Amino acid sequence: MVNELFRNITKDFSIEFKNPSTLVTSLSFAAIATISISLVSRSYQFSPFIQSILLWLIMFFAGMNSLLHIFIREVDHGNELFLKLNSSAFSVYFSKLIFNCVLFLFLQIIITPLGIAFLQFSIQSQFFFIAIIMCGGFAISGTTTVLSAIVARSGGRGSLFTIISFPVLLPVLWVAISSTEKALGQSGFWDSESLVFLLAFSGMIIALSFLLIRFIWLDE
Amino acid sequence: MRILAKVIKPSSGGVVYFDGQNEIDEDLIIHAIGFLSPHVEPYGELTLHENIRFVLRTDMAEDKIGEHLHYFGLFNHRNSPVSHLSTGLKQRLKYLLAVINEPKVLLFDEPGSNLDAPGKDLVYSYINSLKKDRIIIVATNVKEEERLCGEVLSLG
Repeated sequence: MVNELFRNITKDFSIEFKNPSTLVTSLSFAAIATISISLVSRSYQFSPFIQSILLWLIMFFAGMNSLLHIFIREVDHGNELFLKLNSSAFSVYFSKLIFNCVLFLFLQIIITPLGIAFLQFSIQSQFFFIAIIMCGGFAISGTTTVLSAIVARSGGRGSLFTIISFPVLLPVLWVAISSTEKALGQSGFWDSESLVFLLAFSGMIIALSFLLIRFIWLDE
Repeated sequence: MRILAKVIKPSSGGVVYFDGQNEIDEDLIIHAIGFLSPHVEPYGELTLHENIRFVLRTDMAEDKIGEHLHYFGLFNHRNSPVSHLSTGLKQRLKYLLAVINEPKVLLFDEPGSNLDAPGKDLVYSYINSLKKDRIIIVATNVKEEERLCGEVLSLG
């Protein structure tokens, strides 16, 4: 299983490095959205609440295309059967979960400095800010991985994925936005409950995905 | 063939694999089966060598991989992306990927498709060499491929 997982992770990252068009599209969206808001707002200083909303919305929509394509690519390129013959459903799921977590973390690492530079973010509680960004990102990656498998198997595409992701991710976005607002606006802030909620939500979704992935991925 | 390969469930009945007297666990079936079909597509973005490394379940020395590549006439293309291969070379690669783990059961769906005459001679002699100690199931409409088999079952 570990060997199979490692082979799948290596394969996914190799393909992404050889053809990073989806990642480039996501980064371009993030950059264009951030710069557009900056230009339109000129020197207007947004409140921490608005900054938090803008940050998470940009991350959410920038991530949607990239997070979806990890399963869609297998179906679109006709590799689905080849993958099923050579990997169990569990190793496919976990390898793509790890890939999505790394990918979204990378997007967050790029998008956050963009926000600081162009939207005048001022982070008062740095450690909590980093923690909430990572936990929120993990929750989004974990949730969207299994949803992308469902969309890929149903023949759906980006719009369907975004539509079905949003209600499931609403609690995550709610907590992440409100917690990020506090991190931006209050010095020395720390809220363990938010972090625990996000991690528990991720754990629950991943556990459910582990139980269901065989039925989603294989024709059972 | 996909039902036999355990990638889809039948609407009724089932397929069970035994190793001697012992039923093979569902999760281990993929280790026992090699499947070749027009619908099985290796990763076009990856090279032949990368696809082989993806499929291999055990550590195999590079010279052993090289032997397999030489046998199927693919050694000179080992670092080329699969998307750059002709359909004939791609079919040879599919053979290699199906057999490289030495599975006990081989399922060949239209084994001669996309192959020229030398390619067919190569794979037919390879299938004949495997018959001694493997279960080989061939699905075909081609008369000459029936001769690869010890038993023929006509459907429809």
